[in-house]
Amino acid sequence: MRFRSLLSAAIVWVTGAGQAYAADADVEFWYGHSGAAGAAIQDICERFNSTHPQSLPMRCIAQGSYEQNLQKTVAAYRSGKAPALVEIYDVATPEMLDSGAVLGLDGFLQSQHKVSDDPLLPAVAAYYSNADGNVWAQPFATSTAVLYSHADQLAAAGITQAPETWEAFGTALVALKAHGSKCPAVTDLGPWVWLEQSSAVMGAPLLSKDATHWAFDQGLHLRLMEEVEQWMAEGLLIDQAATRSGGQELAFTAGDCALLLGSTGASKLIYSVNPSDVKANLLPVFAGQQRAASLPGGAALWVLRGQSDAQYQTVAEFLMFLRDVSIQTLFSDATGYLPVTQGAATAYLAQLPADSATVVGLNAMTQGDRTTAFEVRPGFITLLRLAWQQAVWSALAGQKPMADALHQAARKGDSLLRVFENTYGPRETDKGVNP
Amino acid sequence: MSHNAQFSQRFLPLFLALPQLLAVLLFFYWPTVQAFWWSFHYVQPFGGSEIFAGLANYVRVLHDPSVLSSLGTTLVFSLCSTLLALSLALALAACLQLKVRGYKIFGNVLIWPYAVSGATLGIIFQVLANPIFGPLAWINHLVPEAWAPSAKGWQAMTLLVFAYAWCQLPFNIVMIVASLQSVPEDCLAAAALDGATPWQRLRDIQLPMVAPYLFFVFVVGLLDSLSNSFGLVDRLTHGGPGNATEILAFKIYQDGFVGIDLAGSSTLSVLMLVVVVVLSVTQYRYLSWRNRRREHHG
Amino acid sequence: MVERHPLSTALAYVLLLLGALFALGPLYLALCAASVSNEQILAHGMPWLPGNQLFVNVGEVLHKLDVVTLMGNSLIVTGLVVIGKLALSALTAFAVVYFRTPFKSLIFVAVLGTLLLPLEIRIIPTYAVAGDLLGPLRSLLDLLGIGAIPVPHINVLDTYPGLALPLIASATGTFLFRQFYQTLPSDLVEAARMDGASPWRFFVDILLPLSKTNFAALGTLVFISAWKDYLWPLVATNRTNMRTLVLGAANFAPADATQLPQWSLLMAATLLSLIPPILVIAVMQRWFVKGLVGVGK
Repeated sequence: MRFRSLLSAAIVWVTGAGQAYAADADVEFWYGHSGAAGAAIQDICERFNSTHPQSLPMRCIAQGSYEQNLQKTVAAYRSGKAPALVEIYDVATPEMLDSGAVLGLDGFLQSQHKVSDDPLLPAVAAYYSNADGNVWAQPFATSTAVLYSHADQLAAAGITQAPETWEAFGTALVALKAHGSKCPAVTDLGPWVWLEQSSAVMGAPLLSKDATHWAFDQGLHLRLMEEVEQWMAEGLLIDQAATRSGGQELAFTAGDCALLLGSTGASKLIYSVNPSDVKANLLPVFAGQQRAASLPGGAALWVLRGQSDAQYQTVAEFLMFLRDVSIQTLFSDATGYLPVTQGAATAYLAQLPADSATVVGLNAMTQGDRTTAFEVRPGFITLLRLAWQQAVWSALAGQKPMADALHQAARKGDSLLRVFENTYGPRETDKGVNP
Repeated sequence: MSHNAQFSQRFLPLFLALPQLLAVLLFFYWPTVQAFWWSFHYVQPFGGSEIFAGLANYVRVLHDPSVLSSLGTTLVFSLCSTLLALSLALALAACLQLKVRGYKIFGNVLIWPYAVSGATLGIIFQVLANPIFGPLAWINHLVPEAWAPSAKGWQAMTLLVFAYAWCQLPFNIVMIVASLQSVPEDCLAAAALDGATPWQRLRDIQLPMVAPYLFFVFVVGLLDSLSNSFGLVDRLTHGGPGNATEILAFKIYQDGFVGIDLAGSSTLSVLMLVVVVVLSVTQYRYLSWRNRRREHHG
Repeated sequence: MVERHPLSTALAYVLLLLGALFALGPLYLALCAASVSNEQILAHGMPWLPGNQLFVNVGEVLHKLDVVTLMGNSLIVTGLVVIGKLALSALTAFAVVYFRTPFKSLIFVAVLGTLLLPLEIRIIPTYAVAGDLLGPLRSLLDLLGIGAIPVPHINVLDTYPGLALPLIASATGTFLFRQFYQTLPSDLVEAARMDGASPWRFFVDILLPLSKTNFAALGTLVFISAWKDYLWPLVATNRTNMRTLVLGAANFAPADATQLPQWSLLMAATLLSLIPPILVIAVMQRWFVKGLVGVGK
């Protein structure tokens, strides 16, 4: 019967395809970049493979955005098909720490007898450490937020110095507009800059002391967002969608807008047109306030469970390779992301002007004496970010006052904290014993 | 069908249907059961323990203002786009069945949008709706910032409704043309002899006869708009600005895949399933009632 | 044939022209955008008339995007879906219509149920199944307390069957065939039974030849919907060389904010991905419409 032979052929095909996929001949690394960063990662992988013939080949696979990479990792891990190494963005750190799916970095490297004489930058390492001070993931594609400005445009409007306070920022916006600027400052109103980083540098707590409630619906953050609402209403702060290029970094780079609060990770693009005109400064704080450290954003590399010894050996080699000063410099040069070890930072800083985004960014993460890590890591930050964004946009659309909108988002966040607690149970700091 | 017209093997049909049953079991029923299961648990995304949650997920989801607003958004989007597509299709189908010269070409071209997936259309409309260089940019030259779909919720929703109606148009036209054709020719000819204009014939004879059919197309369109709009929303508005266009299907994806809240997302899926079941049952009962009536009247 | 009224004819033309404008407008504007340079779009806005850069842009898309592989993937996956769905639905409908069996309604209701929850909504658990095809069986054995029986892991993610299977697992085709079989005269079976033909012979020798137009109708319809699918290939492929054309074209949109959007290339890539389904619809319209009406009923 023709049908039956067709059916059996199909079954063979399906199962055969499955088996071919299960081979342990290489090590997979999934990352969430495209463009210049994606190309740089491919380049680094090729270098690793050509210089490490004794290791298994690293297969570096682009999985789209950070979000998509996390989704796919979750689904793949559930079905036992996860990669050995995966790049996960900063906000999913609590989920990763509690997942039981990862091997802590410190313990992993020890078990593979890898010791680095070039330690991670303390500010960055702290973000990916648990309560015992063990580092759980290797920072990668690290960035923080800075204030970019076009010095020429500011000077033309009579402003000699980039604003250090929100008050000065507001004055500058008015001056720029008075001088004819159609876009004094541009923004995507992303929560990373406006909620997390701005609160961090102002030392404004995001969470209540006992970590049971979100606290951004009052105090400094509320004050800042009410300013933002005002600025946007007056055409001083421009939504990126209303610019020619549709993206805040592009609009700033093209010189269409004078100021931008953005990531150091975009500095490669931002310096690409007229580098001498672009200045980077610390994010503003309100006048008279003590400055605190900004957060190391970006992503980190997590080692997942369920791989063979040979694969783990290669992963360890690869992680050490990425820590190499020359490789870090190569990656930072190609992308604008910050170096993550002290040696690399020192070497890299030596060749850059003091007002470059990289130097300012590294400096920003060490301001004040406050630790940069969350004291307690709240879960579901991605959902909280969505709630915050929706709240802010509804306030900007005039549907409700900013205070009410933020309050609603914070309460939604509270319920997410409960769910997170119920899902993972009470905090266990070193879940997941190292091999 | 009479008994003689059927084979009597008992297990052969089961065997024949087995491939499809297996496919459906694996790729439909199992995932659905999984979603049900998750909706009653606290689920860790990476696997590990699943703690029984009772109705806690349902309570939290139903108390979440963003879910309620998403339901409202879905209702507005589905009703508006389905009605728009239906009325446009009705007008065009009525014109097509006049069989004016070249109507076949029109009929052909009107169905082309069916080839365009929601995601692809989302990309095209994203460019077309661009306030700076899109075809609507002239509005902003007249009144600055008047057209800003990424900042104004109602504009984003209008865009989405319009785009989705575009997608739905071909299906509706095909179905309505087919139903209009089912109206007996002699009825129309008799009316024409009585001096009824095409418009009168449409209003007095065809529309009443195909009305049940229009209802059917409407419900199918409504059901489609609940789920098939995902690609469009993902590419065109991403649920924004704020949550102005966050329809349920997109929220389920967003919460589950971006927020990795598998339990909450599954709970929403189950609620959505309930909505779809209610709509489908309504439709099915209506159709079987109509069929029975039809059989009675021969 | 109904006679013509000049006024209503004129009105019909106006409406049909407007309708055609509505239907083709977005595609036409996309073509215009694809036929000028990106710089021109950014500087002067989108053109209302096609420019002369179409082939330059298409050339660049072909250079940047492995269109041959993507197109091949799309064709293989849609081909599998079409074949799979036709075969499975014809068989199942045969089982439901032509047998006197207690399982009949069970089968039909089981297949009917798939209409209730679209793939988009159950995408995460579906992904889990595709990653471990026999996982449900293993869970079932565990539940029955016989989890010791080894069940192999079969992963169909990143494979053609994996891309096709979830799209095959739906009910639409079964309805079409069921409807069609029910309209066939019942003497067919009676005659076959008199001749002592087996059900299988009846299916192959009588039913299949009669179903040709239905195969064509359902085939075109399934081809279009499988080609259009976006979410499942997005989720179920990890390797770029397994992606479909619709997905590949969509990825021309800037993934992060620091990439300058290449609008004209994006439009060119998008239009490329639309050529096969539009061709099918335009050329095979008769079958397509028949399929649509049949499935909708």
